[in-house]
Amino acid sequence: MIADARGVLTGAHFLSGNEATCEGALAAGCRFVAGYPITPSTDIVERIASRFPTLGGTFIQMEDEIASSIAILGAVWAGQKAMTVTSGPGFSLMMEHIGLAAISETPCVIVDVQRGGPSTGLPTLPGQADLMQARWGSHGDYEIIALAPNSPQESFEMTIEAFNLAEQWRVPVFLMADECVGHMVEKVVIPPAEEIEIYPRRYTKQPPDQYMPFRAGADLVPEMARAGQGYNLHVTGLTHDERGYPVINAACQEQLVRRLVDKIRLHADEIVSCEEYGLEDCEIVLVSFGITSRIAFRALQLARKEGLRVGMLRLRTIWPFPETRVRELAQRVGAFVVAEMNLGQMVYEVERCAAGKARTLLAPHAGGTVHSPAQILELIRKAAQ
Amino acid sequence: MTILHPVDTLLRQERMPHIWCPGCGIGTSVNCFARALLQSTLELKQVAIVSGIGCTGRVAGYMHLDSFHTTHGRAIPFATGLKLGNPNLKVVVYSGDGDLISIGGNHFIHAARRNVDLMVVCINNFNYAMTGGQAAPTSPLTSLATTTPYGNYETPFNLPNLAESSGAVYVARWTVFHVRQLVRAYAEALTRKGFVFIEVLAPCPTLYGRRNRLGDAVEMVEQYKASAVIKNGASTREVGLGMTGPIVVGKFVDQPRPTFLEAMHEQMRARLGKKYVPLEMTT
Amino acid sequence: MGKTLHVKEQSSEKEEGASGAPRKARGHVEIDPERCKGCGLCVAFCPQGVLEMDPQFNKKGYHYPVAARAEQCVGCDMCGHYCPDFAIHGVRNADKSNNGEKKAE
Repeated sequence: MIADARGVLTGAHFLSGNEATCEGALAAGCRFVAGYPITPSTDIVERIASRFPTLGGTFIQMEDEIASSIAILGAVWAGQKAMTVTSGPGFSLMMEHIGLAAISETPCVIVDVQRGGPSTGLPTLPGQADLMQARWGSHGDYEIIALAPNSPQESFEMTIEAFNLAEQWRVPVFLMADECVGHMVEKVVIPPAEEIEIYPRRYTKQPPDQYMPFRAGADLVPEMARAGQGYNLHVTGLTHDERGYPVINAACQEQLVRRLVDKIRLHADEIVSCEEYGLEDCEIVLVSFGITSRIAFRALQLARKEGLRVGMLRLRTIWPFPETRVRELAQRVGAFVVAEMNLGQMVYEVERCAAGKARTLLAPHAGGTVHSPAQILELIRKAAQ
Repeated sequence: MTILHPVDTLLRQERMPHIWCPGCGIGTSVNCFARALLQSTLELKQVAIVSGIGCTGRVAGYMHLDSFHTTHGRAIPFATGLKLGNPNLKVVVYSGDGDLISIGGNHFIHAARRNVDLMVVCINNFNYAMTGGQAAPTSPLTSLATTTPYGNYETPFNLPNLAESSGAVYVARWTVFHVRQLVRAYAEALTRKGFVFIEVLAPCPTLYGRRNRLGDAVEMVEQYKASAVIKNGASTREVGLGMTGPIVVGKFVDQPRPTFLEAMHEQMRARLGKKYVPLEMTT
Repeated sequence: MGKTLHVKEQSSEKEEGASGAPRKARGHVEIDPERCKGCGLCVAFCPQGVLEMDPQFNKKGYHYPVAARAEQCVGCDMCGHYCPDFAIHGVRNADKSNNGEKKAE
């Protein structure tokens, strides 16, 4: 289906990444947002608060991020598309409900505008150190999808993608932005509504006496329902069977959790999205995502001028990790250089998939500002030795 | 031949028998609640029940309604999202004292402050039963629990007072001795808009009752009968509970004010006029 | 005419009342002994003293109630309100609608 034109701000605008994220959510049909103020994400909900009332949306500033992260789940089961927005410390508070969203297969979008951490860290300055947390932050086994925009334009587009992926796979989907992308202002072109593809919620057409809320189809995703339709749904965070009823034993655990994980793992190749540059004949692969990818690209240009055969793999989806592509590349390149605004997170995934067939070097940064191209270039040179 | 109990249609029969202990007050409270629902004019399809974690948290799983068993302490914010997401739903939060008031305390006071249209039922058995009988913020002074083996020295919350101070528009307390009044209170509460709070004292014979040598379920409920004093309209400041002393029950507050959504609509209309578009169903 | 549905066959009609005339109970209880967990609340709070716990056990090892003085039952359904396990309820004989409940087939 196509986007509802009332939520689409068609035209060319100068928007920050955060403003564009808001517009992306509106274009995607999000009409419920629960949030709590936290720098550098607050401007997203401020714009939502201002835009929603003329578009049929409800925004509520909850008492904390714990409340925000579960209020959106309630709104989804009521029939809305819902989103919350936060940064590091709030993200940490949301972890329990990410697990609840995963086990209850509640489609929702969580935006983390990353800042320097850990703890209170650098509230007004960027970081990219929450990615492992997005993947593993809640307890237990589950899988999620995470996207990393590197511009306000991408913030708009990826927010819509996030909602679409959430509906398709019934998982919480993370938009892992950062303070740089969130606050930088660039041209954002918003197309007409007819050009925006929306993945509709996968509501069941079965009658209540036949519908099983957690019986999955061939793609391992069950059909959805909502409260108020006579389905007498039962949704629980306990391990449950196809009816949604708690079953506390190993057999049910295997059946449910295995499916939750396979739902994404077995379809990773469909979900993964990367941007590639110059990988056809390169010796070194520069791996990067988010704001760092823009500096990395500059470093790549400088490196090529020096005659170094370097290409770039920019991750748009950071989870699931593009294992297949990295394993492929590892067969024929000499080294990966991972540039990330942290002291080593994505690099472990690259190294794991390279499996010793290629070297893996890290261009780290503790956060607070972006790399300089020189910092990354230095690592590319090292990789070439 | 199957013997049907009057509330059987509201129970998920395929999940019976429930896990609650013999004489557990939760069962009695659910019995009364189901009767009130059946008596009401509500369309049951539009009633949703949300629980947290604990013995009372299991209520959602046994009721044949749209039911949600959420995380510990967070039934109220989930219910807020559910209600705001579809204002046509009648949303009931049914949870225990530890869940609603300890870990859930912050959400409780804010939902009351906002006057979100939720009926919140707190089954108070004075301990955390599911996890083995630890002290709760409602445990009376000197009571014994696994985490207060030498007696509780923390002053407990006075729940009706907490609810009223936070802004609840309807506040009542009954015990599971008062089955008739409880059915009427539930029925009345179901018709009220805004943040409605009912505290129900319930025996936990297996843990709180046993540790504090209060006897079996019958003896504990007899004690409610002996100690209860019905004082409708009593000041909630004066209804605190102890190991001894009266149990003041009744309806204490019944004072409507605009709900969260009513206030929001009014404010938005005042500022935006015709441009205001209230929430629509979008999926 | 109300049908008594006890597990133990027990007449709801007493041979003679105090005055010597036959008396019919105004109500009766319906009990599913297998649901019962033996808490005794129904026995304790029946205003008419109709119930006692049966010396027998159900499959789970709980004693369950039985109408020892069935003729006293007025069908007030207090037992039905107290029961945490939905194992018992009272039915008024005279009033066929009986609180809106569906009668068992």
